[in-house]
Amino acid sequence: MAFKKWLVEGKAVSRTFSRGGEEFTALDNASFRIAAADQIALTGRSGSGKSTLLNLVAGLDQASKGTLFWPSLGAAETLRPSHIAVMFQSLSLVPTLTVIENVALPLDLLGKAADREKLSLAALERFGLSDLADNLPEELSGGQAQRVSLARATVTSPQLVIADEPTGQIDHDTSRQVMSALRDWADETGAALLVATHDSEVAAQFPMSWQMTHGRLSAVEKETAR
Amino acid sequence: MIFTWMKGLVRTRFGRLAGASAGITLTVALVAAMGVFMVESNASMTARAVQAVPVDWQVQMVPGSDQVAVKTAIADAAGNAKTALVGYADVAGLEFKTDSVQSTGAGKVVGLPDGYRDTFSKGFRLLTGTYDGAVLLQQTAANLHAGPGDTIAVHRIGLADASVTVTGVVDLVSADTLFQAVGVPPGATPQAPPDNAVLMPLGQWQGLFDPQAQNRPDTVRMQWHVALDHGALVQDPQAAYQDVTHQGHNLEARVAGSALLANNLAASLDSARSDALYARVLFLFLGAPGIVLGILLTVAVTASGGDRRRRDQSLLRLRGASLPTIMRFATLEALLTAAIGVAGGLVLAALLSSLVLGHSILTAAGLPWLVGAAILGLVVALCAVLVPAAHTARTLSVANARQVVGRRSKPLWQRLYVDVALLVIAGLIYWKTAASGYQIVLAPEGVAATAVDYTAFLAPISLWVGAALLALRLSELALSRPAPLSRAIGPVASAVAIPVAASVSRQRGRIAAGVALTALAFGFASSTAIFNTTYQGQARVDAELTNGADVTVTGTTADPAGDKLGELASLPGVQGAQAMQHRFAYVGTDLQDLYGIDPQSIGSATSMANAYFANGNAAATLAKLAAEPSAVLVSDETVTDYQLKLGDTINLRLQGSDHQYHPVAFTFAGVVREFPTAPRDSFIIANADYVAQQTGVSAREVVLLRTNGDLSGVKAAAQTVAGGLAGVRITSLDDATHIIGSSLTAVDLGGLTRLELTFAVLTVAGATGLVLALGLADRRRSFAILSALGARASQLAPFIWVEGAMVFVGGAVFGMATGTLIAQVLVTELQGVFDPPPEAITLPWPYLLTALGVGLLATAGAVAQSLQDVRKTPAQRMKELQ
Ligand SMILES: Nc1ncnc2c1ncn2[C@@H]1O[C@H](COP(=O)(O)OP(=O)(O)OP(=O)(O)O)[C@@H](O)[C@H]1O
Ligand SMILES: [Mg+2]
Repeated sequence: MAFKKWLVEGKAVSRTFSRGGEEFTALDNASFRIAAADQIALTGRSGSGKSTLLNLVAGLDQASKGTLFWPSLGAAETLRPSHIAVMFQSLSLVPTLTVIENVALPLDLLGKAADREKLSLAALERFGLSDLADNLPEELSGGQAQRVSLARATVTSPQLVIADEPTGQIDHDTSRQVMSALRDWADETGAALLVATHDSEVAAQFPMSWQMTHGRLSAVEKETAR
Repeated sequence: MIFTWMKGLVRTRFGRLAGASAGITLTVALVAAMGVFMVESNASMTARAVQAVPVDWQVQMVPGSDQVAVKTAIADAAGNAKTALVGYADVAGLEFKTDSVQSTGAGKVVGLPDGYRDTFSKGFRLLTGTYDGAVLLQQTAANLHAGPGDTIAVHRIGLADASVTVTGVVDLVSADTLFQAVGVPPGATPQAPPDNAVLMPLGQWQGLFDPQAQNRPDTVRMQWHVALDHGALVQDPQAAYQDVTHQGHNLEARVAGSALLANNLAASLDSARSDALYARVLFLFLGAPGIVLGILLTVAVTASGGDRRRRDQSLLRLRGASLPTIMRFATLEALLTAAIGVAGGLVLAALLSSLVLGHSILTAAGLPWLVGAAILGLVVALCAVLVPAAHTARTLSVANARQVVGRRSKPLWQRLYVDVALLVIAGLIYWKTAASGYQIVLAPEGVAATAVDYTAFLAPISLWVGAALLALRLSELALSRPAPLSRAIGPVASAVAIPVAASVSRQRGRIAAGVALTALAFGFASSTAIFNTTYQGQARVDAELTNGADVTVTGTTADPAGDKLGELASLPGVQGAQAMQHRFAYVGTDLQDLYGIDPQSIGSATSMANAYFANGNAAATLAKLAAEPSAVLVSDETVTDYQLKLGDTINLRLQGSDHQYHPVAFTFAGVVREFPTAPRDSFIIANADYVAQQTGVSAREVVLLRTNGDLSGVKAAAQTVAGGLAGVRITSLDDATHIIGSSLTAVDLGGLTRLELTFAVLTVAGATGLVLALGLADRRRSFAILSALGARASQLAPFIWVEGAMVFVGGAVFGMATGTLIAQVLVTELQGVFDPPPEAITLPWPYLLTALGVGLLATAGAVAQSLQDVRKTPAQRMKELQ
């Protein structure tokens, strides 16, 4: 434990929103740490603040109170696309680009033209999407689109992948396959995962689990599942 | 519910509402402003035609008929008409004795009643003296070498000579009309006015010629000159022509057998009538594309919001709204769009009219156009909003097929090559109309029916539409392969070149439509500008041809303006000055105007257009004239009449210093058709030095001045230098446009040009801005995703400006090229407007560059507006999308 490489560290982080003139606290005084190779499931009821937390960790949003830093990754502005990849709850694919072009986007943003094709195909392969490479997003099912987002999240080999409901639209069997593909990839590369999910089965597979209740974060200690 | 819904519509769909209303505004404004302008210019054409007539009707009595009865008939046929009795007498000749005897051939003496010139003031210009007694025509005074105070002999026919004292010399500009042969069928060879004529008060005339009428009734005629009530005339030349013609027929029926009518006003309106038709054709050619463009813009806006409309409608459905209710809401939206658009359009039309055209749109005659424009706006709004709404409503229940990008099959027009077919049609019609003798407007003189060959419209319209469709096809083709595209934008878009190219390529339908729409707008702007510039340049050539030069100082042989050449040339604002002889010469028995020039330098003061000369080469013809001192250029008729061949010797008789006509040998060197200041019929051009040497009279009567543009300043300065010369006349181009009268080229299209150009610039701005706005919804979503992935602002920007640049560059290149071609087609088809026709189209570079600049600014503005999006934080974006 003592020599862990900390990717993210949050100290007493709060996020408040003003809603119709009233202050509303979506994340309340949360302290947490994520180390390399951690695989964390984040559970909680709808509206409990899961997405709010993920956005903060990804550097997409700023905390209202408390401090958030990325000890081994750098400043908030440089996290994406090199170190952290995100996958959203909805609306994740650029509608005017094909599946493979969507997957290649993070490589393009990094200016990695050299292995573009090879890396993207490998990422698609990983999630069983090779056949759909040249399809447009509107030609995919909801589940396929979410898998494409996951493939895209892994294409640059980031150190932390943050996924918001990645299996929301997938049936249980497929969902299990997709999750194990993601975790296999994480095991291979030593990347950390932070995955928000409603699915208790999915959550159960993860070695670590965080729970959100009305904006309050609590860690659930448990045995390693596998 | 309706009110809430309306409030919601304005708040949430403001863009769609504003865009569609703006399209309607442009359409309505253009129709209203152009329509009212057309009505106004028709009225001014009628006014000019009326202005050009010195005497509306000449009613010539058959000898022995009852004058009073005819006068009554005139009053019955035309109420409020003013009449004057005028006597015409033929005389065998005139003679003036001093040391030598000057005499003329046959001539006419006219008796004018007291106060005649109060009613019929046009066309008289007293050069010297007074109207109290015998007043000689300028040419007659020159022939007799007589002036005020001299007593001349009149050789009456069948009676002894009478002697009269000259009191003045007049330039009778309207001689053609006053001396016409009344009762000759229209179209008969026009009679030249007599070279020798004397005007005198009717009382004096009666004393001299009542006896002649007794002896030889065939040599004396009485005419009633009639001034009709012009206030009662309608404004449209065609209708006015018919009214006046019918009035004339009415009179002819009343006085059949006792009098004959020359309906000068009808004849003048007759020619204005074809000009009015040409004007209508011009308005259609130049205005219709703008109206089409405004409608297209409206439709493009309403058709674009498909996604949102689907969402709105599903929401309404969820809340239980039935299809009729949904359509009722759509109708309300259409009416709201129409109300805003029509009101805005009328206000814009009023603004443009008063600011750009300088008149109000609120005239009784213009009212139908305002109402028509408003109805058009309403219809366009209803169609543009209801058709897509009905379509969405029908498809909504069928499937929720969201098609953002789509792999559509080729549209029908592409598979049928409609674009190519249209271009071929344009080519064929152009080829037909470019053939000689083609006339788009047929208004045969004296025939009430007129015809406009509307098929000629097909050439520019097919070219315009065909070229836009071709632009659509070609830009789609060019954008269909992302690989070359990404290489092309690679240097400027760097890392994101590949996704940008792919994205652009997938959206090529929208971008190509943007290119085509922008090309249409640029095509409209540039063709209008090029045509109008060419037209105005030609109107100037026409005016210059009539006036001679920017400013022309016309003296007499006795007091030639050439004496002041040095002083005139050094006036401020004068860039070139040339002195020219204007004499008269007998070709056989025919007296023609002769102009003596310095062929090598005349071009420094006035334009020598190629069209002036039969061989189409001004430089070569003038060089030939300069090479041989005795060389002479004559008219086509003279060549035919005298069977001339190049190099033939022609003997002309010119007036020498002894005021007698002496033969001078010239060499036929070429054919001249038109020349500055020369009349429409036959005339002669010769070397001034040779004429001076042969006649012994070196006077140069006329000085032509080219100015730096300050016409009135130079005219005024010339007045102070040369105003003292007897009988001098100083005129500028501005005066000429008034003298040309009803000719169409004299109609000032300046206002129309400015109106159309303003409109064209607005449409270019609208088209480029619209295309970027239309991509907004898709772009929002893509940008949210991209920035969450970690794209920086500099990496998002190319997605926007690459699109903008493609639409602008593609549209500008295609549009300007098409515009130039269309202008060429218009100039060829509307040849009849030009006299002489222009040698080439004129490119108005300042305007074209302005249009490009404004288009670029509009694009840059739209790009900058969209770039605002780039600077939002990822979290802001995500929220917006939910
Ligand atoms: N930008 C915002 N402005 C105002 N309130 C917000 C904003 N973002 C989130 N909230 C509120 O914060 C609370 C937590 O939202 P969050 O999206 O984090 O929930 P969640 O746990 O992800 O829910 P779900 O499982 O449904 O995705 C909610 O009540 C939401 O309404
Ligand atoms: Mg959530």
